[in-house]
Amino acid sequence: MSKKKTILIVDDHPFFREGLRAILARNSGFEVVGEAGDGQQAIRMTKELNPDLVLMDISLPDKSGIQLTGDLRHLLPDVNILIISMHAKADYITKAFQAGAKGYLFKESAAEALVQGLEAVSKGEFFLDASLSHQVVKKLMESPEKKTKVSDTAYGTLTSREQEVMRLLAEGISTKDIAQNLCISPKTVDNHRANIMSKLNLHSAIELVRYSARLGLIDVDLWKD
Amino acid sequence: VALIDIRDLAYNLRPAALDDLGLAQAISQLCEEFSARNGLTVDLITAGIEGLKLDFDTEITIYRLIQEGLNNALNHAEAGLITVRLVTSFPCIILRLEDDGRGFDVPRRLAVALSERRMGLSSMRERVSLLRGKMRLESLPGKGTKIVIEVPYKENRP
Repeated sequence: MSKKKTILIVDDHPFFREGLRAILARNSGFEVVGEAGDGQQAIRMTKELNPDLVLMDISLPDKSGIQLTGDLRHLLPDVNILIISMHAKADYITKAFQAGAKGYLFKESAAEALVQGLEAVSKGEFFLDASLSHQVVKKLMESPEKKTKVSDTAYGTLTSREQEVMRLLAEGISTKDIAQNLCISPKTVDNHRANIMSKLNLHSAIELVRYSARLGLIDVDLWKD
Repeated sequence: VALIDIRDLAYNLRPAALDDLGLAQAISQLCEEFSARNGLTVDLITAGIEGLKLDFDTEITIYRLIQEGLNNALNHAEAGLITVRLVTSFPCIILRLEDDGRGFDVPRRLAVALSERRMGLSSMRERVSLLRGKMRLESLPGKGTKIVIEVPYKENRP
């Protein structure tokens, strides 16, 4: 028989941890090697115990389990994390997988699906609780025009200084005035401009203005008058 | 006074989504649910917010301002489309809320709101000024309403 997979449980409710332990005690393939009640403890114990698997709650007292998933994966890239959450919404599920979780289990079905989920993620497979697939599929089927969330990731790569320069450029301020305004040389302004254009994949001043208007950096109405 | 205390308390209660998902995602969820529940379109773009560590007050205020703005657009303006933009432009965060609803005569509306002791706009303005930000309100009957808010934030990115 292969070696037992070691598990760290991260949940702030001792009763729930106890319950998970009890379920796993009946299964010979897994061994709970530690329990953590918050994020800090989880990080410390992950370093110490080097577990194969982490069972992780999302709502923790000091940080979110989703954030913590990212932290632990950073610390221990090979660890497989299975989220166990009371949240059934697709947003949570997506965010958890994006952070590096391998599986997502709904708390209410933890008793039945826990072992199945652990077996899947310990083999490196993805696992999604069957009772949640309805939510996820519904989300996938949403028509694009009803989609409300858009996050512009390219803009997020600009530095603070580039953001300052970008807004002034979009407002039509000249290089000379921007330089004066920010107490930098015109050449530096030009460098910032070049970096902004390249990061945002823009090719002309008008594209920059359009982009800024779409993001709400500048007032579009000013251009109507 | 007691009523105002309770309002303050309600304002400062922190939705779980803020801690669990972060501001950008929490707002996205808020807008999405609002849109689905009320059958109107919310067009949201956030930029530069993801990964930003804002202080407690700024984060919760931005969340509540958007919530308040959405409710105003629905209840008073009967809007069909609400546009929300939340974008960082160092050293400020810019929040825009625009709707295509009925609009109103600004001075008259403020006077009425004041006399009826309604929260809405004046409360939004107060919240913004507590963060040392500024808020601009534009509206005309039949032309919709536009609110532009800028609040400062501290630098914490490379």
